Amino acid sequence: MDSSPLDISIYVFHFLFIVYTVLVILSYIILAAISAKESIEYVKKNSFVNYSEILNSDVAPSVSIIAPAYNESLNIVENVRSLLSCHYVNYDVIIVNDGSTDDSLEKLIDAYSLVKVRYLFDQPIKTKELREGVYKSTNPAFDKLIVVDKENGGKADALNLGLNVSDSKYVACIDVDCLLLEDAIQKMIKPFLEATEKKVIASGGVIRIANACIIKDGKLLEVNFPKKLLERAQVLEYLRSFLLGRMAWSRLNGLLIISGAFGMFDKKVMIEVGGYDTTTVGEDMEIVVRMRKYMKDTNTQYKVAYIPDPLCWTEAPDSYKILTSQRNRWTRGTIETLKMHRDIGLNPKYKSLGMLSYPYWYVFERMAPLIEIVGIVYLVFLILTERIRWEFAIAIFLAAYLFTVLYSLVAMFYEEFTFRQYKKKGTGIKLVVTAILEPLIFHPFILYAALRGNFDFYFNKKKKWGKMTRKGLSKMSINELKQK
Amino acid sequence: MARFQDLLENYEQYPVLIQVIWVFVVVLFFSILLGILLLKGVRVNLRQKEKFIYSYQKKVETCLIEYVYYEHERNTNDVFEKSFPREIIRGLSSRLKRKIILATMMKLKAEVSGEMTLPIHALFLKTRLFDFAKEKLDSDKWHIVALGIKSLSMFKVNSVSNVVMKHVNHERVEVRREAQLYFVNLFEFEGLDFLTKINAPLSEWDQIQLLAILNKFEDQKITGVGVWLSATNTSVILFALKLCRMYNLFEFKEAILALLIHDDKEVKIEAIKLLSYFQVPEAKERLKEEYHKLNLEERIIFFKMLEKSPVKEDLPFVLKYIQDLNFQINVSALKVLKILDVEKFKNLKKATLDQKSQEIIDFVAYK
Repeated sequence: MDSSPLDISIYVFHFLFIVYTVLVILSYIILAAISAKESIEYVKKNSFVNYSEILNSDVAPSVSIIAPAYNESLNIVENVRSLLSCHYVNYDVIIVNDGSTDDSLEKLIDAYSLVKVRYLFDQPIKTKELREGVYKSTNPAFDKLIVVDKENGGKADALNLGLNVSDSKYVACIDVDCLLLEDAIQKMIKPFLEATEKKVIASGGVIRIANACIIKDGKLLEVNFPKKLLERAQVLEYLRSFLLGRMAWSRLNGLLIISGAFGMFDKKVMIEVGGYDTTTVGEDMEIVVRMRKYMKDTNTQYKVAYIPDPLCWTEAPDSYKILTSQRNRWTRGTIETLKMHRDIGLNPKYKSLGMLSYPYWYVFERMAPLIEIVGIVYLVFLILTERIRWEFAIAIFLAAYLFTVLYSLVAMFYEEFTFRQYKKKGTGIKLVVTAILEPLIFHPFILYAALRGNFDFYFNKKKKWGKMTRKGLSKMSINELKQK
Repeated sequence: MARFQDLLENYEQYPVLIQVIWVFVVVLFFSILLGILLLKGVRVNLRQKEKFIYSYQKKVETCLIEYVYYEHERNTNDVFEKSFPREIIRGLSSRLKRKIILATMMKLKAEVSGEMTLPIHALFLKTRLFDFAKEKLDSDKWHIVALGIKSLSMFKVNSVSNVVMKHVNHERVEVRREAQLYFVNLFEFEGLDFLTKINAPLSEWDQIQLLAILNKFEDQKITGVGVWLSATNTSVILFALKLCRMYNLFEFKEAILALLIHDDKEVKIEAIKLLSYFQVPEAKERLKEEYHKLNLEERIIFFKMLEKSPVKEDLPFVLKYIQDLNFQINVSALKVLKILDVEKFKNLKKATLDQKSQEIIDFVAYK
C-alpha cells in the first residue's frame, strides 16, 4: 500500500460523491413513480366528482380567504375582485393591509365603498396593533369583503391577524397578487370534507406561472408559455416540483411545505399551534412542520392533503436579480425551519415525518447547494493538482445533466396526461429546448441564490424578505392583449 | 472511426464504476431522444383526440336534441328503436365514441326535465349502453364500477338496485358514494334505507351531496330518522341531525335530547346546535346542570343557545360567566345580560376597569 493520505482522501471523496449522486437519482426515480401512481388515482377519483352540490349547499363549511397586502396599490382592486368571484357559497375575503405606505387602503375604500365598522374579535395570536381598523362595504355585492388595516409587521403577522379576525372553520391563506380560479375553494375544501379516519389539517395547492397568460377582470382567459428563458425555466421548475415532487410526498403523507401563495388550513389547529411564526422568512413551511409536529405530539391521526389542479396562478420573477432575492429567501426559510424543528430529524417518535420527510429535506434540499459547491471546488482542485480523471468527471457531469433533462421530460409527460395547460402548437418543442438549456443557464443562478441564502443565514442575520417587484398580472395581460 | 475505436479501447480499460456511469449516460441520452419523440407524438395525438372529441360531441349533441324534440312532439310514451339516431347507434361499438355519447346524454339529461327525459332514458335502456353500464358493476376496477353506478343512477335504472346495494359497503369510498347517490336519486327519501346497512362512515362531503339531491324532491316523506338517530355509526347520526334541521323534524326532540349524553363529541355538539335551533327549553336546563362536565367547545355552543332564546331564569347562571376567561363565552354572557337586565349591564359597564373588558362591553352595548 503506497497510497498517500491525499490519495485516500480523494478516494473517500469520490466514493461519497458517487453515493450522494446515486441517492439523489434514486430518490427522484422513486418520487416520480409514486407521483405517477398518485396522479393516476387523482384523475380517476376526480373523473366523476360533482362539485355543483357543494357550490349551493347550505351546510357547506365556512371558509375565509386571508390575503395580506403590503404596498399592492398597483393591482389590489383587480386582485380583490378576483378573490370575490370564487364559486363557493359560504366564504369571506379578509384583506389585511399590513401597514402599506402607498394608497392601497384608499383605493380599496373607493372601489368597494368601504366604511369603517366596529368589529370585535378575539386575539388568541398576538399581532401588531390595528392602524385604521376594520372596514366593510356598504354595497351588498361586496358583502363578503372585510378589510383590516394594521401596523406593519410582515406577512406572517398579517396572516395571524387574519386568523384572529376570521370566524370560519377553514382558512385559505393566499398572496394577494395571485389569481385564483373560480372553483379553487370547492376543490381545496374537498379533502377536509372527505376525511373520516384521519383529520385533514391542511391542503396545499399547485402554483402555476401566469407570466404571458391573458388575464382580464381577474379571470384567466388564455394560458401562454412565456417568451423569456428565465420565465420558461421557472414554468418547468414548477411543473417538476408540483407534479412530481409534492404529488409524491402527498401520497406518502410527508409534505413539509404548502406554498405560501395558496394553501387551506384547519383554523382551529392553526390557532392551537400559535399561528404563523413571525421570526422566520419561511413561515409557510414552518407552520406546516409545526402543525404536523403538534398532531403527532397530541397523538391525533392526521393528513396534509394536496390538490394538483392548476388553481392558483402567480407572477414569477422576470429578472435574475429578483429571482436571486426570492430564492435566497426560500433557502433561508428552509434552513430556519429545519433548524427550529431539528428535534424531529431521525426521531422515531415522529415516524415518517422524522424518519423520511425531514432527513430528505435536510440532505437533498437544504444540503444540496452546499454539496454541489463543494463538488465544484473539489473539481477545480483536481484540475489544478492534475489529479483529475477526465473520463470520470465528464461522465458524472453528463449523467447529472442528462438525468435532469430526462426528469424535466417526465414532468412534461405528467402535465400532458393530467392537466394539459400548454396545449398550443409549438409549446412542446419550446419546453424541450428549455429543459435542455435550463440546467446550464438557469441552474447556476439558483445555486448562487441558495449559496447567498446560506451566507445570509449565518452572516447577515438582519436580512429579512428582500425586494419583490411585480408588474402585476392584469398589466401583463393588457400588454399581451394589445400585442394581439 | 479510428477515434471511436480508441475510445472503445480506452473504455475497456476504465474501472468498472466509470464504465457503468458511461453506460448510464448513453442510456439517458437515448431515453431523452425517445422521450422527445414520444412527447411530440403524445401532444399531436392528444390535440387530434381533443379535436375529434369536440366535433363528435357536437354531432352527438345535435342528433340527440333532434331526437328528443321529435319524440317529445310525437307525444307518446313508446319510443321505437327505429327512431334512435343512427349516428349514435353506430358509435356505440367504439369505446371513445361510447364515452362521448354517454357524457353528452348525461349533459343533456341534466339540462332537460319532465317528459323530455323519457326519450333519453329509452335510448339508454334499449341500446347497448345499458348492457355496458351493467357489465361495469362486475369490474375488478373500482373506478369502472363507480362509473357504471353513476350512469345507471343518472338514467334511473332501478332494475339493478340489488346489485348496487352490494356496493354500499365497498372498500373504496368513491364506489360507496356512487351507490348511495344511486339509491337517493332513484328512490328519493326511501332510498335512504341504505343508512341502516352501511358500516363505513359517511363523510361530510357525502352528506352534503345526499342532502343536495334530497333537496330537489317535492315529496318529503322521511321515515327512519328515529332509527338513524340511535345508529351505532356516528356519521349516520350526524346526517340524521342534518336532516332534522333541514326538514324541521321537531318531533324527534326526545331522540335528539338523548344525544346530549352521547360519547362522540361531534354528535353532542351538533345535538346542542340543533336543540338551540329548535329552541328546546329542556335542553337548556339540562345543559345548565351539566355545564361543569362540558368541554370548552360545548360550552361555547351552549352560550350561543342562551343567546338565541334568553329567559329571566337564565340570569343567575349567566351572571357567573360575564367575566369568563374565554372570549366567546364572555361576549355571549354579556349579550344575554344586556337583553335580560339592561340596568345591570350598564352598571357593569361603569364598574369595569380593564381596557379589554371595556372594549367588549362597549361593543355589546353598541350592538
